[in-house]
Amino acid sequence: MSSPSSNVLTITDNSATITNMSYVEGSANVTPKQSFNTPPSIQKNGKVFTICFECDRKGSSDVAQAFNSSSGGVAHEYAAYRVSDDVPDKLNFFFTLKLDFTTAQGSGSATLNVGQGHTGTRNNWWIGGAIVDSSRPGLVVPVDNTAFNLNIPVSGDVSEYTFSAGTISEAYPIKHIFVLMLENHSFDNMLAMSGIPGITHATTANSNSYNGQSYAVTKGAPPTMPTDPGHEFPDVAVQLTGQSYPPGGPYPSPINNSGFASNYATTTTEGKAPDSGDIGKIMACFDTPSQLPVLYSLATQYTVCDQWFSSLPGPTWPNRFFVHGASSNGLDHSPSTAEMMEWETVAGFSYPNGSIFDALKNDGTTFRLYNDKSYAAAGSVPGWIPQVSSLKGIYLTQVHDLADFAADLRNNFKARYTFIEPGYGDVITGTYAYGSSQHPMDDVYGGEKLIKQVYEAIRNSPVWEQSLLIITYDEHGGFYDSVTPGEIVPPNDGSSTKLNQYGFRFDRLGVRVPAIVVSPWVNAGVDNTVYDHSSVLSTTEKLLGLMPLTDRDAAANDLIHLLRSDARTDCPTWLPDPVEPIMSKQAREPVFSLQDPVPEHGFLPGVLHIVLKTEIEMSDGSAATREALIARFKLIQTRGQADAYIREVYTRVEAVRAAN
Amino acid sequence: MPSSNVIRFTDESRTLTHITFVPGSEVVTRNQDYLTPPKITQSGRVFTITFQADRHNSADVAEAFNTRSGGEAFEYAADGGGGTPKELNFCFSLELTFNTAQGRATESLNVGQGHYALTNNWWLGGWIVSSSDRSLKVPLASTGQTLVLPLSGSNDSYTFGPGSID
Repeated sequence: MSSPSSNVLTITDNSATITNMSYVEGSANVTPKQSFNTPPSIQKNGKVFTICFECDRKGSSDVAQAFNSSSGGVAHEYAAYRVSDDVPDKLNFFFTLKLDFTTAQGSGSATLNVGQGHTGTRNNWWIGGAIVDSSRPGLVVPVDNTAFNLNIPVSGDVSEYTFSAGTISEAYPIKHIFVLMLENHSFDNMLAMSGIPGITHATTANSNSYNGQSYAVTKGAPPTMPTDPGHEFPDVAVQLTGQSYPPGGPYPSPINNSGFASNYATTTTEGKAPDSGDIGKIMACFDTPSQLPVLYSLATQYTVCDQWFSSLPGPTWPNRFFVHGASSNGLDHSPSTAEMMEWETVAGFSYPNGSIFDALKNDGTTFRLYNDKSYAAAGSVPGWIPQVSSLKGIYLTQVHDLADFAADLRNNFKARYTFIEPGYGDVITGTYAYGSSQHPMDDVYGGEKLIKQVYEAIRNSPVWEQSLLIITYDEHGGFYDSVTPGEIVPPNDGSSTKLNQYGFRFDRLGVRVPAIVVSPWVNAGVDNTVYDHSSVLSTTEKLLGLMPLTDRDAAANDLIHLLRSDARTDCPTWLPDPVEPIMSKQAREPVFSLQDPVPEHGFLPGVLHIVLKTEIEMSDGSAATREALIARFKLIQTRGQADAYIREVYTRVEAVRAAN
Repeated sequence: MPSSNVIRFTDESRTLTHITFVPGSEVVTRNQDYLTPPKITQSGRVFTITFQADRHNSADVAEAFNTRSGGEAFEYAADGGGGTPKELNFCFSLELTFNTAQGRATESLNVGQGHYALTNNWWLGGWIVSSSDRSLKVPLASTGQTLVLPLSGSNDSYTFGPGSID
């Protein structure tokens, strides 16, 4: 009787961390009726471990299934040589090795499954197990009683693997970071009347005065604002100080949050000023438990941050740029048509040191973008354009539909960083109606629904136990807040002076906004640490082992200190339903007509330029085509024409997405 | 404003954690404008070093680079390399910090820009550079071991490959 075939795997340990390798008794799983001998022989010669298993070869799905089940799925399985499979369909056999590691930071042991399959004309080897990270690929081995991870790059070929020099990182339970950024509400506006113990908040004793009349904070906010409160850079200076910002600065003082009512009463930055009877609405605060049951539920069951500030005292665009790059490249205002024409027709908005997405790409780490387009109605397609796609290197065609989010999370979700944008509603007629951003002109229903959707998708997915969700708002939208924003470290990244309209030095935080940290690894409670949107980056960078982008995120407080030593088991699987909208469709009178001109600044021109950027990206790339697309774009004069243009291009975007 | 000169390091080894400029280490051909320090940024595994300097090659700069680096055995240019540079536009020194499972190390690396064919090519030099097997050899003081990183690249871009501990 002949002996079984000889199958040899070599592992070259260039990391010099493996001190011992042994077979786990009884772990051999072989296709039925095939002869084999255990244990496999394991010999070490210098850095090279040679593992020889005598076993006749016949592939079976049963063995592959056992390997897949034991290893933990696609995230934990890797074959250096394969055609296209993420996991093996059939294997001849597999068995388990125990590996002992020693590093300067301590020792550890782990098991590693090794299995042999067949691809093309070769018998290729797979490795699998909890320590295998297929995304890099590499091994992540807990050492020093799991306080640290040993990270070893892995490469190889059919039956030869190399473990390269490793590094040590702190071990965190979080593998997937999610960020949901909504629009335009101050902390007090959303949470002052929540009754959550321990938060710093406005009371009805807080007030602003205008024209001799006092406007006090009140409980119960209108579901929509009658007019869009100003929140451009000069507006915010007035709101915070009662004074105008002097050209070139410095920021006026004292900052006493005294000018919200007067600014709302008089500014026309976002459209017409309110009727005198509506001025007090800027001081009104939602009755959180009854008006915002979804947000309230999360704020009471997870960590609410009551000192999270927008990154600069200004509007949406620069603040959203900060969450992606710890800088706005000097931009201190809503960009003008001329400014956007310059950057969006080249490659998109860029940062001196790149964005977090650049860093993730350069690190080989997967990220994913989603936006909500759950409501389809007149004017809604322009509201489906996510602001993040204005960035250089980010393409509208790569942004995923949030409708697929829950299914994606259940299907081997690989992204380590996920950024989610709401739908902005009807930006054509300026009502923002039926969006999910919670823009002040829209009601809060869509946003509450969105928060619930995002939370429940993550909570009921396989990644929940390794997840951290940050929910915050880009800026305060002109609403009153009672806390004085402090000083902050500027990005110091060589930002452009060209985009700096007011001479702002980025050394002052913007107004406080709501922020809730959701994870099985955080407690229910209140965190009083000072954060800004750069804290999203500082947290992400620490968790994923990236370096800071600018001085701002280098100095920003991160959320790591909130992580518990064990995961909670009392986290709700479902949230309460949002309160149905009060406003009827008929009550939403358009602010602008389709014949009105496209404004020089603001969200609509921003969206338009993203669509132009996208159209250029989808073209043949020639200079002639680019010029033709720009010439056609420049013919757009009215809101109606803008709507038609965006819809037309978006149809092609959908076609590209479908083809991918 | 002097011309912008950019060299990139892609660290596939994941062991390079930090790069800093050595103050006062710049040597630039006489009468050429330049600005110090060079700007050093990191995005993921890609380090970008930008030095603003007008370009005019000179033997003086090459001589300074060769002396500082230690000669042919310790100098490498991925594009147009071999031997040592005869002329360079400028050179300066960096400090590279490596972090491995066996310990940390900080070592200096000289970089200089010359001219080869139609491009400006960058040279690496210093005692951690091994031109014979195109690698960086970084001693880890705490253990007596050496981190060896394979070098590859082009005229203005270098890659440090996954390494070994010898």
